[in-house]
Amino acid sequence: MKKRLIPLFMSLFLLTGCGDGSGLPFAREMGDMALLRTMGVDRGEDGGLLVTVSTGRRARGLQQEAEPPLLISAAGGSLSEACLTIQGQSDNYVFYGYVDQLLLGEELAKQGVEQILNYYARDLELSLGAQVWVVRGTARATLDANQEEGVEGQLSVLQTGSEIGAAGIARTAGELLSDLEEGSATFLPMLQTVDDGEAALVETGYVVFRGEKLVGVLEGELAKGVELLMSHAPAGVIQGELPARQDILQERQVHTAYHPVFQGDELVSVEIRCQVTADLTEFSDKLSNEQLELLRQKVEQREETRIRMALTALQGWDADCISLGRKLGINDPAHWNWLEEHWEDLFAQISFDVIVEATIRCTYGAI
Amino acid sequence: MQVTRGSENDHPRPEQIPHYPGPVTMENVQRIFCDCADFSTRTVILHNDPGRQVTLCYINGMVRGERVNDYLLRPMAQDPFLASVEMSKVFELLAGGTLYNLYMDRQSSLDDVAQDLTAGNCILFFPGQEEVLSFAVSTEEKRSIGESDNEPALKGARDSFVEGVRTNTSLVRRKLRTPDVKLREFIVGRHTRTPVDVVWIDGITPMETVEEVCRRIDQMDIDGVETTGSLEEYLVDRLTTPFPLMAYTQRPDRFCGALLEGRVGVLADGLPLGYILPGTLEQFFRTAQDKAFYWTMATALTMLRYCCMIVTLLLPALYIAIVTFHPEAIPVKLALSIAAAKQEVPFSTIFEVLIMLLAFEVLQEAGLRLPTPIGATVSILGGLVVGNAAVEAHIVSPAVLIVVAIAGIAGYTMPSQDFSGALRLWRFVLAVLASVGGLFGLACGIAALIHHLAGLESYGVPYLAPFTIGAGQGSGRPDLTRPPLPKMKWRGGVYGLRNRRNQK
Amino acid sequence: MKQQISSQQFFAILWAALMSPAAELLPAVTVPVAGRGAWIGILLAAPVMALLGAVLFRVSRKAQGGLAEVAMSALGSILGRAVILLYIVWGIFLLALRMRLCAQRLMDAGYQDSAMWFLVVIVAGMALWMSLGKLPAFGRTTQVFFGVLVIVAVLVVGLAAPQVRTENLLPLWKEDMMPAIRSALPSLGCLSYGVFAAFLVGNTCWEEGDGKRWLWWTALGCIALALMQLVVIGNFGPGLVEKLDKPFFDLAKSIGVKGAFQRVESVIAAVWTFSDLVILGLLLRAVSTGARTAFPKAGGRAVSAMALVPAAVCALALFPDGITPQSLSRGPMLWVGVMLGGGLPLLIAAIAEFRQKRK
Repeated sequence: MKKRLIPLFMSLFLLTGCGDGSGLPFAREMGDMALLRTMGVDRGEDGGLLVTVSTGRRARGLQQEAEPPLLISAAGGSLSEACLTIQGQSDNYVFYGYVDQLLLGEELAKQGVEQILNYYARDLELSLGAQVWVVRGTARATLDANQEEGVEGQLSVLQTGSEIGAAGIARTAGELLSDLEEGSATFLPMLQTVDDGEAALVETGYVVFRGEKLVGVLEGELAKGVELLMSHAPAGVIQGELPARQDILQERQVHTAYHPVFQGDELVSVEIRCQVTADLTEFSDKLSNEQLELLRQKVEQREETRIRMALTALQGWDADCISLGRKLGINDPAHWNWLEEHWEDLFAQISFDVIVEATIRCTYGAI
Repeated sequence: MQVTRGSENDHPRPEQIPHYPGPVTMENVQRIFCDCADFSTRTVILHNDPGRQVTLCYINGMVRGERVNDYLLRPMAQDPFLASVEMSKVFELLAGGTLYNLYMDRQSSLDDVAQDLTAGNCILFFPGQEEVLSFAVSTEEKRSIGESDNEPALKGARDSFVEGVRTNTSLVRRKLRTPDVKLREFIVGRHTRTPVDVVWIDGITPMETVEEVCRRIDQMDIDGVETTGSLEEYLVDRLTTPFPLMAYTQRPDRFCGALLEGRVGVLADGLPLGYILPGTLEQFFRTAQDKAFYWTMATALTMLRYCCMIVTLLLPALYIAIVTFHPEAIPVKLALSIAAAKQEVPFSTIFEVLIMLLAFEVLQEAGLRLPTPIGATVSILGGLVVGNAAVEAHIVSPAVLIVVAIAGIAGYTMPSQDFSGALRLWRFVLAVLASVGGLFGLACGIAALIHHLAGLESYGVPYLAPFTIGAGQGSGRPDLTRPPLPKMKWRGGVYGLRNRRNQK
Repeated sequence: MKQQISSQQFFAILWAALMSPAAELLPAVTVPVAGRGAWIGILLAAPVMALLGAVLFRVSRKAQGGLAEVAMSALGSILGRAVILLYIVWGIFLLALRMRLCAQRLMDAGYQDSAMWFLVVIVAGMALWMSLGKLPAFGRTTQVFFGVLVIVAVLVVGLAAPQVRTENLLPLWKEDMMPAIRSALPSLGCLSYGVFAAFLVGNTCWEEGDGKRWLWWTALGCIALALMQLVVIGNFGPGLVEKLDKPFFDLAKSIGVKGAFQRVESVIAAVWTFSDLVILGLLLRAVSTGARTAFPKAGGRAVSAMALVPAAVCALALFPDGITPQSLSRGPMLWVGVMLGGGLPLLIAAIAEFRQKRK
């Protein structure tokens, strides 16, 4: 028994602070931490980076008294340097483990974002599951404008809204990095601060990346077109399709399929078949069957226009951000090898045959 | 009834055998029991013939006066035959049935005579005879058979073991009426002379286990069987573990159920419980109610107990590890709430948890020592003062209180108090390891615990049986579920049973 | 008396041990070869593993022992001892490598301010304690560890499966088949750690039907590893998988149940310590068994300690940075594993069969 206890007691020396340290991991108290939720990265002066972090709304004590969000900014030659500087500026230990919202400034997006994404892939506290947005202007300005309430609540609503179809497509850092590794283009949702007495973040569309750099912005109908191409039901309503009527349609489901059309070994066109299911949520007075059919055709035309506009824009930037090439390969694996080799050259010139099939599912007694 | 004695030994505590040498005479017996104020003798005249006298000796308080009067004195006084036959034949008549006592022994050694007197027998000395007659007329002052305190019966029999070993064996025999139930008795303790019975079912229980249990009891050379520990710590395979290696029960139905599974039972005089050997982990999660309830409910409750074991063992340590070393694993809102509450608490999370765990143990111990009326007050004070006031005074944060309370309550679901005690000890160990090394420290602690349990054996049966399948062992029936009884056709195979099938 | 484990315990030891290198190496070593089809390689490696196991069982039964006894009886005392010594040296090197990689993984999972030596010493101490105990106890421990590891792995893969993107996995066509076949080699290299279990064949109580069970365990284990790779590649895409250091543990970063738990990579990394302890224990026992067979006067417990101490020292001295052990493990060690874990045992088995037929 004594022989067994001796190595046990000796092992207790491991716990002491002898030498350079005990080797034990360092324990941190949550009360001494600033739990960051949002990180904004902008292009800094002298080609560096400006990092702004925010905790979102905080509480203190048992009674959960509200405290304003903590907002810290620091510049550095790299993301690591800026983050370390932030650590020094705060009274508390700044913890990045809860950062799941990343805002990228417009200028930084034009310069390139891969460095930021690689940092997220490698850092111990950060994770590739963080949602990413590009903001008009700078991320710092966006966070400053919402300093009182913090932006994390609004961004959380956008994250949830995307899941239930009430907002645009949300993208994570992992998806972004994966797209850049597999192809050469990707896209991110874009936000803008609107000041109507109270600063609010609204979605304005999507930015398109070719490689890691921003090449264009898709707004309005173009943004809806991209959502249709990604089989994501566009948020928002369709109204005023029929003259002298105020019928409101809400799209619930979209399914878009892609088929390459080959002539021999040559790809001549791409057939895009988009199935849209919508509900008639509001109507001024009852519709006849003919009116319903006309409404359905109008929806098809509108959606086809949106898709074509988006494709034209993407072809103009030569940025297949919707992974169209890979989707064609999935549907026609026999030609994938050929597609993989030629798609980058073909994308800008290929013609698209867009077919939209709309179904108005629920009419709520409109007819 | 077989009686075996402790074996001769040549270790530093030799026992003189016989303890009382010499012939069995009245003078020798009086010498043995000198300074015993309760030792009495009585000279009895046989059927009013002063020439025919016998001497009775007994210990006051141990014998039942009515039995002595009715079964011994009355026939000796009233039977005319005793006065008419030759004196040389009277002894045989008395031994042969003239005295109306069922239990009678002829004794020829002083040791046996002394033991019988202390057991409550009445000894009859006959002039000119080297042997004496020993009549069992002891008083049966014992606790009546009532309900078990620690294993309440919601559905089923409500009897429980009492302090008398013979009463306990009768309870067993009433439930197992087969003559295959075998009993072997040992006398343990030089000064307590406690009868200890080993019980098994012939044809089911492996004889190797029976012989090993008997061998260990036979080798016990102690002063006496004072408490349960006097037997347990001599019968288990290993003492360097806080986990119990022998299950016990106060309920005869559970005891008999274990015998039917092929285990060996041990009953000791003075202890109102029966031991069940070998002891395996799943036994300490079973209650007697499991077979009484419908199988779905029994299964759910069994799984709940296992979950509670994990909760009581790991929750405080997991809280320390995650909050202190890996906070990113906590959902955001909970993390913000914990962080907000922690800001006003001066102590570290590690210290908070360890202090609350200690406070919980102190309250529990205090509750055990106090008389029942005051004990309830202490519980209320403990809950209100320690719990609520500590939080209001920012001594601890609410989350810590909840964690420790849940862990404590989960521990109370363990049917075995011994097992629950072992879990409480390991809870502290794991909490300390988590505070030193976070989740890695906790993982190492869990690995050490599992390896420790895996290394335990009870009479050749692994402690983790039947969750693990070892070499040469048939597959058991992992007791995470309690299948319907018609489907439980096989006794557990891990015990080397001779007869595994238990129904058609 | 020889300590014995059951066949179920043997299989549990083998696969619990393999989960450690598998989580680290797969699909990091198969994706550079086969891209999207990297998950196919392990399925092609399964029959090879099954065949190798069947052959080794057959010759081991005749030699009434494990791989060490087979080597001695097939190759003679001098060559047999040389081969066993080779496995001992390789085993000690793998001990050092696995301890270092285990410590590195823990540091990457949240212990960045802990000292490397601390983690190595603790893991080494635990492994030594577990290997000094009885083999049946080690078998029982491993069965419990295996159950926990399987539950955790199923949770990780199950929660990550809905996040799989089809375009990361497809299309797969005939052009992808050759690379997929080539990826079977690094998969075999990963599975080659299992050859050390062959040293325990002589300590296992084999029963009727264990041959079939071996096939089932091999098939299910390889299917599970294929599924794991499928989910990892489906989540990240082959390009990103190549960039990540530990794709499986990075997958754990992205799983969670809203409102319940999230970011459980540190929990997964800590639980995977069980697998590391099993593989370290297996290596120690194999080294100890081999040493006792080759040099019968070698004491069992002393050999374990004598193997572990230099391994721990090498873990710290040979690999001061995190890059060297990783590149060794994903490069040369895989090919050494294929040779020593597959080729050499097959050769020994063939010689043993030949000698047996000549008798």
